[in-house]
Amino acid sequence: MIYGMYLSAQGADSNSVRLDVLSNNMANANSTSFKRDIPIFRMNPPHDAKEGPLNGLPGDLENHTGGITLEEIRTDFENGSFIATEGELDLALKGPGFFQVVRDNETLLTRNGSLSLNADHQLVTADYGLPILDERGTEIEIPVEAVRIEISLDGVVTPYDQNGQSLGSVGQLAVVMPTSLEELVKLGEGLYTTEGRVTPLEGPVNIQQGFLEASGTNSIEEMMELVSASRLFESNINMIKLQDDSLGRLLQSMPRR
Amino acid sequence: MAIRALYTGASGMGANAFNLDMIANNLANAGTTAYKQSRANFEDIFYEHFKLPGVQDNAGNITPTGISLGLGTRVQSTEGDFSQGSIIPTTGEFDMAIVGEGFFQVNDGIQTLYTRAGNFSLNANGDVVMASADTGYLLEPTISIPQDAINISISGDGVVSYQQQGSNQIQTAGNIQIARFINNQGLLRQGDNLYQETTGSGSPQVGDPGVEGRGSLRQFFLEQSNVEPVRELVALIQTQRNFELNSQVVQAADQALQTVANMRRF
Repeated sequence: MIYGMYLSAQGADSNSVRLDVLSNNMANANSTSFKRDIPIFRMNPPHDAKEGPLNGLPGDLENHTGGITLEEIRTDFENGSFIATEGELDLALKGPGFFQVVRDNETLLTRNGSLSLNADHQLVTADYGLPILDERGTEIEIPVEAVRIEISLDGVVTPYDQNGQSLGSVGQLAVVMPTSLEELVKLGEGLYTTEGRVTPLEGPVNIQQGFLEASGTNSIEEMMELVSASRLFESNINMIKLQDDSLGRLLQSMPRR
Repeated sequence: MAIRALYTGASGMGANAFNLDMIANNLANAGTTAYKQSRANFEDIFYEHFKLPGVQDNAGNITPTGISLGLGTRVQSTEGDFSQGSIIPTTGEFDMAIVGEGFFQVNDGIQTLYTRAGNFSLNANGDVVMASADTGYLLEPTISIPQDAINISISGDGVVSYQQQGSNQIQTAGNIQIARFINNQGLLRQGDNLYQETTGSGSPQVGDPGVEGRGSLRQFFLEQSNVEPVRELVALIQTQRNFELNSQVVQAADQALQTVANMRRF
C-alpha cells in the first residue's frame, strides 16, 4: 500500500511533466519555425516482492522500481506550414535542413529564416542580429547600392541595384544537417546546438523567399493531450488519497492498548 | 510541477495579447498616409535541460535524446513591412509620393527625422512643412516659396520650380533631397508618421531622388498605407483562438494544483 502510493505519485508526476511540455507547445503556437516536443515515458522494471528491488534500495522516486519514468522529451521535426509575408528577407526552408548562425563565436543551427540587415550591411537574424553563414562559413555582406535582394531556391544571394542590374552573387546560404536530429539540444530563441557533426544537406535545397515557416504546434492534438494529462493527473492523486484512506482505516482498526 | 505550465500558459496568453495590440494598430492605421504595417514574430524562450543527449542513465543506457523542457514564448521582434503602398492622385501641389526606397527629411528644431508621408504644405513664411499643424516640421533642406508664386511643380528628381505672377520665367526654389537607409527595420518609429535614425538602421545616404537606389518623387500623388485588412483579420481570428487555447492551459494547470491542494482532508 505504501509502495502503491509511490507508484501513484510517479504517475501524477509524469502527467504534470506532460502538462508542462504541452503548455510550452501551446504557448509557442505563434513562434516562427517552432518544433513541438513530445514527452516519452518508460515503464520501470517491476518490483519483485520476493527478491527485493533490482539494485539495492531505491533512493528517490526516479530510481524506484516499478511505475513510470520520463524517458526523453523528443522533438517532432516535421515541417510546419508556410506563411506568406512577402518580406524579401523572410526565408522558409522547405524540407529538412538548418541555417547556420553565429552566437558568441559558436555556430548554432536554426530554421528561423526571418532575417534583416545590420548597420554593417551583413545578413543577420532579425531578433538578435546573429550573422547567418554561407557555405564557406563566412558572413554575407550586401553591397550598399543594392535595392533588392534575390535568394534562389538553393540559397544563392544576389543583390540588384536600382536599374535592375545584378551585382553578382555575394554568397550561398549554408543549409546543413546534423548526423542525428535526436542529438539536437534546444536553446530557445529558435536555436539548436549539437555535440555531433554537421554536414551540408544532401539532396536539393529548397529555400522559399517571402515565406516563414509556421509553428509546428498542432492545437487539436495539444488540446487532447491537455484533457488526458489533467484527468490522469487527477486520477493518480485520487489513487493516493484512496490508499491514504485505506491506510488510515487500517490504523484506526488496530487494537489499542 | 504544474506551476511551470501555469507560467508557460501565461506567457502564451501574453504573446497573443501583444499580437492583438499589433493587429489593432495596423487596422487603426489602414487609412494613414504612407503607414507601414508591422508584424510581431515570436520565439520559444528558454529550455531547462534535465538530461542532455548522450548521457548514461542509472540503468546504464546511453540516452539518445535528452530531456529539455521549454518555458514558454516571447516576442522576438516586430518587423516593419516597408513595401510600397498604393499611390493615389490628389490635388495638393505639395503632395508627393516616393516611388521606391527612401524618406523625406524633416527637422523638428533639434534633429532630423524621416517620413514617407508626403502631404506637405506651406507655413506663414512660405516654407514647406509637414502638414500636421501641431508640429510644423520644416522639410530639410528648407525650401521657401514666394507669396506670388504660381504653377509650382516638383520634378521626379526633386527640383522645385515656380513662375511668378506676370512673368514667364521659371525660377527654382530648391532641390528636395531624400534619405535612404540600408536597414529600414532599424528605424525607430516615433508616431506622427516619423521615423528616427538609430545605429541599427545605419547612416542615411542623402541625395537627389531617383539615383543611387533612392526612389523618385511624384507630385500630386500620395502613398497609401500598405495594410492588408484581409490578412489582418485572418491574423486576428488566429490570435484570438490561440489566446483562448493558452487560457485553457492555465486553467488545466490551476486544476492540477487544486487537486494537489485537496489531497489531504483535515
